[in-house]
Formats: sequence, structure tokens, C-alpha cells
Amino acid sequence: MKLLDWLVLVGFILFIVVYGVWKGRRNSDLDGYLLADRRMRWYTVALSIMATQASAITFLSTPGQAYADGMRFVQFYLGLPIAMVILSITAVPIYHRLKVYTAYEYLEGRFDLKTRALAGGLFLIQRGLAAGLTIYAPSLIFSLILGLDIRFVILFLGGLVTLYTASGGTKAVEHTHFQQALITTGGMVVAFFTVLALLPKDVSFVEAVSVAGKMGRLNAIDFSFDPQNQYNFWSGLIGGCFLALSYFGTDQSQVQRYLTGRSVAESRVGLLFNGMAKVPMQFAILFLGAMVFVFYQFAAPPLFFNPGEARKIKASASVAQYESLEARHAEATAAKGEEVRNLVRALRTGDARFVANAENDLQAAEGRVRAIRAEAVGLMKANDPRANTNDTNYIFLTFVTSYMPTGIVGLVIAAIFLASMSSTASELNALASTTVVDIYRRLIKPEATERHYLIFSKLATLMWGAFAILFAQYAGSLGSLVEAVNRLGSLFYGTILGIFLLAFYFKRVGGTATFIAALIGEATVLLCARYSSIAFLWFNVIGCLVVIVVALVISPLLGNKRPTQTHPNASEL
Amino acid sequence: MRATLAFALSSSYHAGEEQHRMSDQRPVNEPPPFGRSWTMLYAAVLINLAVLILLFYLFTKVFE
Repeated sequence: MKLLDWLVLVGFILFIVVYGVWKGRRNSDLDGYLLADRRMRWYTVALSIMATQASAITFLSTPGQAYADGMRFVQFYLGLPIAMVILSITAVPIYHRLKVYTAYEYLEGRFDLKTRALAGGLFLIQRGLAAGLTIYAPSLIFSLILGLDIRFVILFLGGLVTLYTASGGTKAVEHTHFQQALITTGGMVVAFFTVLALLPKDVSFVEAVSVAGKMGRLNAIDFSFDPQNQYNFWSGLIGGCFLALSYFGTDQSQVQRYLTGRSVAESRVGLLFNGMAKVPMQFAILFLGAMVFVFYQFAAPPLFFNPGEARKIKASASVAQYESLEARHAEATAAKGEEVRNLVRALRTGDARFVANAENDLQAAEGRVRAIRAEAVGLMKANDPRANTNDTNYIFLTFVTSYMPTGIVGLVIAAIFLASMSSTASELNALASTTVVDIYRRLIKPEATERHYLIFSKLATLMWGAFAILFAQYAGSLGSLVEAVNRLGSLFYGTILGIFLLAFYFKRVGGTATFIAALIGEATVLLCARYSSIAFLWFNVIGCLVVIVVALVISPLLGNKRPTQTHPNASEL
Repeated sequence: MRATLAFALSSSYHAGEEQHRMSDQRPVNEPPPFGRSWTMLYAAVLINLAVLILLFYLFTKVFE
């Protein structure tokens, strides 16, 4: 990175931090600090929802995923618009009518304290660990690509987010989300046009897209039904819908975003905008990755994109073998580049026979490149069984720092950095809200002043920020636990969604039946995760259905012991 | 500890505050900021999804 890039990067980050602190400077009570006085317009709510969901990993990993595996990942989001409509009709009016601070607060009115505590507790565990990973994952990539000490990057990133989130609360989070979303979108648009400009001059845009398609990178839709396939139309539409219902309907980091809407209408439109824009946005990021893939068909890619692992193998006794593989890889990719040009020439003729022959030759060349890469991966594993041989997350940033012009590099990295800050800010904000509203005010100190709760909310944000930074510092040494925590969302979301669906739609089911059903549902999901090869998106469906079915079966046996209402209108729900 | 637990299990927590919060209700069925009705807005989101799926399918088929 050049000086100009550093200036752009640091400039954008400082702007966001100062803007956040300034925007959140006036908070006199809990409503202002946790829900921005419920004054937000729909466009702020919409961008805040989108900025919360799109973390740095979205922008780092998604283009790499298209590069390595094609665009089929877009199907993961197909259920999201349906979930947005369902939540707009059901959850939004209920939360607004009860004027809750957290989603779990509603569960006590509908069921009982233990169900509220169970859902809130699951959220704190899952989101608390996830907040550390939201900081750790991009910090690792930034540190390796930019050659910085990871401890410094974690402290810098986590410290700045904690500073403005603790200082300004939800007002700071939502206003900065708006700016962050604009900068991130701008950065990605600039990146896309820069990739196109870097393609060979004699290859048109349509030809570049055709090359990506012929090489299997534009596989956006796959209607085949296979429960073990992570990304196809059915798992995306059904499993993705359940996941989105749970994430947007019951995860406080998202619920808090639309609770800030000044009315039901503003919150609803914020969610619906997300339903309209999210799928095309993901498609665009994946398409950017597909174009990076085409770019690397004409320019030699490194044998392995993760510079940390490449450095490690080069410092080992296997260095000679690895360098030999690098030389073979360079030859094979050059030969493949020729085959790609032959394919482009065949496409220009429009002759199907020529195109088929060129495709076959290209596939053979691609096979040779893959075989060399597989050898390199095998060598790394033999050298260090714990080596991270998945380099998908490093592809896009390697491309950005290697080929993009000065200034644009700083802008794109700033965009990714800000995406990380926006997600982390929402997580800290939601963790603090649940800690204060569902635990501290409910169980420990119920009758304090507004000022007391306000100060405690700031302290809770600082505490969760410190926890996330600390967890991120040690995440690298946790090995397989990191992977386990990554899957944590799908392990718990189904159960939590089941609890909320019972609350919304099954008025005869009481708290104890729901609580027992939730425990059985969670156990079922954990057993599936441990002993089956079912794709993780289906865990959301399984957990949710088990909770609902078990609750409906055991509810008559337990009798309908509804709790005394804490919300005057809870029985109407 | 016992007192805290007893309070936690009591059902009337913050009942007064909840009542106050409930009294400031906005109409749930207020019209959307744009579009003629909520039904139309929901339909627009779902039609948009259907069109995107169709376009993605064509995109996949045309370039495969």
C-alpha cells in the first residue's frame, strides 16, 4: 500500500469514528441510547439492517467464493425476501405495539421468565463469541496481506468500534451505518469497474462473461434437490427463509435495527427494502468475484493465495518442492491462458463444434492446474497438519493489493474495514441491550434511575467490546473451535425461531411446554450436527419444526399454564 | 439473592412502566410511505424475487 492508500483508509475510518461520536453525543435516557428515541426513517433502518448483515467477511469471502466455486452461493439468500414479508406482517407490529427494547422481553409476557432467559442467554453466548470472530477474521486477513501485527489490527479495529458504540449507542451505530453502507457500496462499484478496466483490451465484456460461464463460474441457479448440497435453489429458498426469519426476527442485533423506526410503516419498509436489495447485492458481489476469476485467466495467479501459509511452507524443509510446484503452476496457467484465448476465438466464430473443442481443451488445461494445486495443498498438510489450506478469503484482497491503482486500493480496503466495523457495532449494541434490559434491569437492579441504566448500558458496551477484543486475540489459537463457533448460528437459530413462532401463532401453548420443546429441539439439532451430513442450512428447519411439534404434543399433557401477563396486551398476541 | 430471585419470578415487574409504554401507541395499520397498500408492497417484493430467480436461471443457461 502506498501513502495515498493509507491516507484514504485512515481518513475514512477517522471520519466514521468522529461522525459516530458526534451523532450520538445527546443521550439522556435508555430509549435514546438503545433505540435512538425510535425516530429513524425507513432508509436509515434499511441501510442499518444491510450494514449489520454485511460484515467484512461478506466482502472478502464472497468474491473469493465465486472465484473458487462459482455464483451458486447467491441461492443462500433466496428465502430472505419471503422472510422479510412474513416479519413485516407479524413481528414488526407486535414489537412496536409492546414497545419492547429487546425481542426476548416479549417472550416473558407471552410465556414466562425462564423462556425469556433461555432465548436471551442463547443470544448472549452465540453473539458474544461471534462478535470476537467478526473482529478476528478480517484482522487476520488484513494483517497477512498488509504485513501488520494482528494484535495491533484487532486492538485498532475493536477499540475504535467500541469507542463510538459505547459513546453514542444506537444513534451512533445507525447514523454511521448509513455512511458506512454508502462508502462500502461505492468502494465495491469502483472495484467492479476497475476489474473490467484491467481485463485484456482484446477481450470484450460479453466474451469475459462467456469465459466465466463456460468455466462454470456463473452457476447462479441449480434446481436439483439434494439435502447434502449446501447451496441449491431448495436449500436456499426453504432453509434460507427459516434462517432469515430467525436472524431478522429473533436476533437482537437485527431486531434492534428496526425497533428504531419511528413507526410500524418505517420499520416495515426498512425490512422490505432489504428484501428487494439483498439478493441483487449478493449477485453483484459474486459477479465481481467471477470477473476477478476471468482476470486471473489472463494474468498468472499465485499458487496459493494465503501469504501466511505460503511463507510457512517456504520457511520449511519442503521449500524446494514447493518452488518446483510454483514453477510448474506458472507454466500450466500460461498454457491455460492460451486455451482461454482459443475459447474466445471459437466463441467469435459462433461455430458450436469449435466452441465444444475449445471447451474440452480448456477443461484439460484447467485439470492440470488443479492437479498441481492439489499437490501443493498436500505438501502443506504434510508439512503442517493444522495448515489452513482454504485460501478463498484471500483471493479478492490479494487481487486488490496487487493490481488496483493507488488510491483505489485504500478505498476498497476502507470499504471492507468499515463493513467489519458496522457489523461489530451492531453486535456490541445488541449485546449491551440484552445485558441491561433482560438481565441487569430485570434480575439484578430493577428500580434504578434512567441515568443509572444509561451509564450501565455504556459500561456493558465497553465490557462486551473488551470481551470481543480479548476473544479475538486468542481466536487464532483455538483451532477447531473457531469453525465450531462459525456454525453456531445455524445450531441455535432454528430453536429460537421455533420459540418465537409458538409465541406468535400458537396461543394455546404455554411456557413450560415451550421450554421443554426448546431443549429437545436443541438436542436434536446438536445430534444432527454431530452424526449426520445434512447441510447446515437445514438445521434451521429441523430445530424450528421439532420445537413446534414437541410443544404441540406435550402442551395438552402439561395443561395450559399461561403466566400472569406482564404486558397488558400480551394475551391479544 | 433470595430477594432478587423472588423479584425475578414476580409477575408484576415494571407493570406501571409497561402500561405507560402501551399508552403511546401508533396505528399499526398506517399506510405505507409509498405504494397504494401494504399488500401491493409485499407482492412487489415477492414478484421481484420471482423475476430475479427467472433472470438468474436464464443467466445460468445462456452462459453455461
